[in-house]
Amino acid sequence: MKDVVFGQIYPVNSPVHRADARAKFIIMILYIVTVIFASSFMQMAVIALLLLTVILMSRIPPLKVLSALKAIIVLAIATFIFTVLLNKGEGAENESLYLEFGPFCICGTGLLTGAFIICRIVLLIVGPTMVTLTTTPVDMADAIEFLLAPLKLIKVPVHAFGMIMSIALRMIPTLFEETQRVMNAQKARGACFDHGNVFKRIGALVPVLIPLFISALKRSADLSDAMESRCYNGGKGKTRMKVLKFRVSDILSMLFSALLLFFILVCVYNWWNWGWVAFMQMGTV
Amino acid sequence: MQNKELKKTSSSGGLIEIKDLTYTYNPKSPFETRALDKVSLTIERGDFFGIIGQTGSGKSTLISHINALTRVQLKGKVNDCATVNVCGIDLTAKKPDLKRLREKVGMVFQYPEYQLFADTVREDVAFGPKNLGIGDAETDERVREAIRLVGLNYTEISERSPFELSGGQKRRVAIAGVIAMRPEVLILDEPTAGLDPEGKRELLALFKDIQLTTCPTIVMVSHNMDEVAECCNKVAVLGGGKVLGVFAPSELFSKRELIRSLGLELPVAVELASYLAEHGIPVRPECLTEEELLGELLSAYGGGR
Repeated sequence: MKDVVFGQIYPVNSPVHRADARAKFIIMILYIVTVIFASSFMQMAVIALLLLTVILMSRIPPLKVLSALKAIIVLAIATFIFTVLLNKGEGAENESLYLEFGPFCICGTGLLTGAFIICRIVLLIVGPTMVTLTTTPVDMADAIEFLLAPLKLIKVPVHAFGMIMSIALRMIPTLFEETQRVMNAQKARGACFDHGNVFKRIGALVPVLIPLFISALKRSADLSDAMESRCYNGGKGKTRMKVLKFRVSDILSMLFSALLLFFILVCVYNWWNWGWVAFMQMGTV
Repeated sequence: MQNKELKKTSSSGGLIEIKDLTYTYNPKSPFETRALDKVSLTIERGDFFGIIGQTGSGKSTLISHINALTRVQLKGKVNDCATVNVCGIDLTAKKPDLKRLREKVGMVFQYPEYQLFADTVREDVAFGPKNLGIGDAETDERVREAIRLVGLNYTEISERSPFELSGGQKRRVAIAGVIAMRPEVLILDEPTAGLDPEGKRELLALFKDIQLTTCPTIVMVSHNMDEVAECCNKVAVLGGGKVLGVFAPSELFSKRELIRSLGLELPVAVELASYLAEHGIPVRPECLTEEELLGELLSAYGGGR
């Protein structure tokens, strides 16, 4: 089960886990915008510090959070290498040039930009990971349905989307278990899934995929029968068993996130020419 | 390592020899659960070995070890003293010969009909033998034999799609797919779940038949005590990942308290026999099967005929 991407939630009880899923989503969106606007190492440090507070508050082992980075390590390193190699600096005289070959060079500005981009990628991954680690898939689907609600005005079937998403999320562990079971059954009959070349391996999956599809189709037929027999008619007048509720703390944290975004924008653009902003612009790239 | 070698030579004769086996699901996470806790079992050649216990008592984990679908956990220290020896293959080794093992140990899962996939019954039953690398001629012979053994008509059924058969037939085809590999040990995980009483009886008769003809050792997990009383000569009782005891059926079903505490029911014949005995009907209360009880009743009342 631990390999399933969606069921990532790390089930402990913490203020972050208890927070409203919609609030977490909104905060996540504000956070992503903030990270993208941040333009200096000092601003990044402020964001990272706040993120660290959230991680500590969630009582998830920090290493567990960082393991989400494994998935993007190749992307991060490739990005770093290309940024460093292709960045020629501004051609300033005091540019420290370390190495040059053909169209590539390694210079101070390049290294700084590379490091900055790595920071940005790490922050962009870790933040949303905190949402998936602290929110159940069902809550997430509900939150997405809520956030898409404005689209109802242009006749997008938002409720149907939400229902599809909830069912899909609900079925992932089931299908995963089923796959495991069928694979075991075929292994017991001497099937081998980890030998031979690519084509052989794909061929070896046929005895797994066919039973899997059959049972998935049967399951969905059963489910639709079950829904129909309970008079499901697509959301008109449907009430919720678990009503999502914004609490004061949720609203405060959303306001705080908005404030952070505003703060970073001020730091970047310095509309009112405040002196202290220079401090926050230290390490601008 | 040396230690392990020593143990291997000293392990005594059972066909399946399990000693001090421990298994933990999701170790070192909030989902950590210990499914098996120092389990020891010996299954001899010729046994029809029953395994009973509540849901979550570790039955499935235990039997999937026998087929190495669940590998002995070697990480950590828990299994350092464990022995798992199946048909002479040491499963605590890093790389046991899985192909040879699966040739010797056949496994019929719960609802085995969900593993069917091929276009025709013949191809589906031939899947196992083909994976073992057996030639076409012999595969064909084995397929015929297996289909006949499970009580189906080869000429009638071999070219049909397994998906258009009835539920009971599908299950038989799936079982034939395992028997066609000619295993020495057959493991059955709740083989009669979801069948009607008639189908259950037929299937059990079938397993007894298979035991006599091709596969002498059978291990069966079951919730149905009637079946266990009917078929098994030894029964292991699992609870909370531990073996609570291995009994002969007659001994097991005299331990009413144990059976009740596991949330299981006594076989109908046992209940009936003890009820009749209590009310003054001259039958032995320790009758296990329908047949035995019927015999008792006949000898008590049918003497005149």
